[in-house]
Amino acid sequence: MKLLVPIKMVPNPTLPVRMSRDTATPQKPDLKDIPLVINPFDENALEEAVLLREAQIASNVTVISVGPDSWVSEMRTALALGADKAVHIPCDKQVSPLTIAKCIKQFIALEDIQLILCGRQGVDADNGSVGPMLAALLGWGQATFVSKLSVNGNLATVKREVDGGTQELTLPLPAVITTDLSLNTPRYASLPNIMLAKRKPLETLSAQKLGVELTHELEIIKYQTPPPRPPTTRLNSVAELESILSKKGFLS
Amino acid sequence: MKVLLVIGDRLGEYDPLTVNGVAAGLHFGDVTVLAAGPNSQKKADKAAQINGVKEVLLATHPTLQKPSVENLAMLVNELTPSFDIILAVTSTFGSDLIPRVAALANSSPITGVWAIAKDHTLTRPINAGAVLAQLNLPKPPVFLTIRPTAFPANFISNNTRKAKITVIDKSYECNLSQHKTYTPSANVRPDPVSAKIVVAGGGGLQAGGSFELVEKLADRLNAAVGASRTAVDMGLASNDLQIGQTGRCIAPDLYIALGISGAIQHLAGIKDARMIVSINSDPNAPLHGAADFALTADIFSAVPELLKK
Ligand SMILES: Cc1cc2nc3c(=O)[nH]c(=O)nc-3n(C[C@H](O)[C@H](O)[C@H](O)COP(=O)(O)OP(=O)(O)OC[C@H]3O[C@@H](n4cnc5c(N)ncnc54)[C@H](O)[C@@H]3O)c2cc1C
Repeated sequence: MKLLVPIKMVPNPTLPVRMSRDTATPQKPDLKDIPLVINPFDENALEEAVLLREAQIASNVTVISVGPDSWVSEMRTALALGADKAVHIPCDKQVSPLTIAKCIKQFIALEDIQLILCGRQGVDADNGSVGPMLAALLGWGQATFVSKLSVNGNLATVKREVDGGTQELTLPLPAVITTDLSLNTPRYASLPNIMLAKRKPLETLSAQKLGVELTHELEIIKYQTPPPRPPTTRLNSVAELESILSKKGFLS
Repeated sequence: MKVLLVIGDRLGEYDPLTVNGVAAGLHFGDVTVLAAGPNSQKKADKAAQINGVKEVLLATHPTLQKPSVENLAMLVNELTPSFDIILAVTSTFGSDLIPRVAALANSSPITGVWAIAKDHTLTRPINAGAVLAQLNLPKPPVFLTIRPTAFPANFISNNTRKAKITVIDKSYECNLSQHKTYTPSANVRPDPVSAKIVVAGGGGLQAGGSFELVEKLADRLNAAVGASRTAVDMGLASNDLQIGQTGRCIAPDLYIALGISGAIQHLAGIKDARMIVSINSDPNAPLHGAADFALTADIFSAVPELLKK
């Protein structure tokens, strides 16, 4: 069974994003000094795929990215984390989730993929769209926010993290699964695996060849910083806190 | 413009955040509501009482009485040509359904909408809430999920009113995912998203080995319980209580954080809280900076002292 893990690179989420101070152009988030990392949820998806291969349930794990050339070094990291092959679809501009889903769908038409594992959302744009969109375009079943997965023959059994609790469901393969952080703990790339990754295949495929036009229907017209919160009042004692909570009617 | 709001399915029950979906939908025009999944009749009856709901569509066929995102997406896809805006709340239900429906209509969804302007420009937070992005409303059909806390709806329910309920009894069967069970989380307190007061705990609770301190203060204040990712990872709180960019976004009147550092991913979920109180032993905790009131203290002594009052 072949697995596909679509991955994207995001500005390191532990570093703060600020607006550019350049006043000549409209304000934009300034990302140029923030290093790119694999989207954390995609690391969970990749880890789960590699675990399935190590358990000999899957035979092969491919990662695929629709993005700029600056993503290629992190695609090597994905190979070091255990993917067998990486496919890069170069794309220099922002494109919509629909465009990305179409590119991946066209790639699937060339390969015999049984299971797609995606992160539940990219932590930069927070769209969370590609997984379910891909499932729709392919006519496959989907399970989002998955925190537990087992695959038995042609059936996946999953636990989903949903509002108010969890849901268990089964999915006939092929299917799309999107992963929650609690699914697993991604491994680190070991030095031998980093060396090994240099010899693994990293292919480039053009969107044009796949017959997909790189478009963005959802152009952002303006970026703003959120309104600031009022300044902090430092309290010196629990009694002060109690008096504030009482005065505001929270404590009676 | 004509709006279709798909009611959420919360563990098979009516989602109380439906009213917030109606409040958002009314920015565009008349709201028609679709009730499907388990207990769809009950959901339809509740939705029919909401002011601003013009009509309720009730899916009654067995293929739509079970939770199935694929079957429901097929129905919504068939209804899409009659509407301009297809909407759901940004819940695990809405986030699962709306992108699927959008793709079926060859469109991209706009998720987590935080504001709708008079000219229908949409605003949504990105980069963990560090940036607000504005978009023009695309050409219909438009597929949206809206952040419930950004569209308050206290005015909206009315027990005497009843919108027309229209039954859809057609079968929609994709034979894809099969629902087995729902398991409610251990949380017995109110849902943090709709609560007026939320008391949340973080990594600072580890020394106590439990969430008891948070729960006691929550009960004293009649509040909901929330948690940071670290507290969830430590097994101190259930996953559905996680507040933040990748958890729930809340907007209570009062938010009290106990032993939470205030990472940007956590702050993303509390930006709309009206009053924030932070209790943390570290005077430089980022949450102190974001709070209206900050108390530098050990929670294991400060909270019991507060409870004695
Ligand atoms: C992709 C991604 C998504 C994420 N999404 C979320 C999210 O949605 N929500 C979220 O919360 N996090 C999220 N995180 C994690 C986030 O980055 C932080 O790691 C997390 O919020 C830290 O939780 P914490 O502050 O409770 O724990 P810690 O960082 O461990 O902080 C504990 C705090 O408790 C204080 N403390 C300790 N003992 C005491 C005491 N006795 N009395 C008083 N104070 C005490 C310490 O001073 C410290 O400030 C995400 C991370 C990533 C990478």
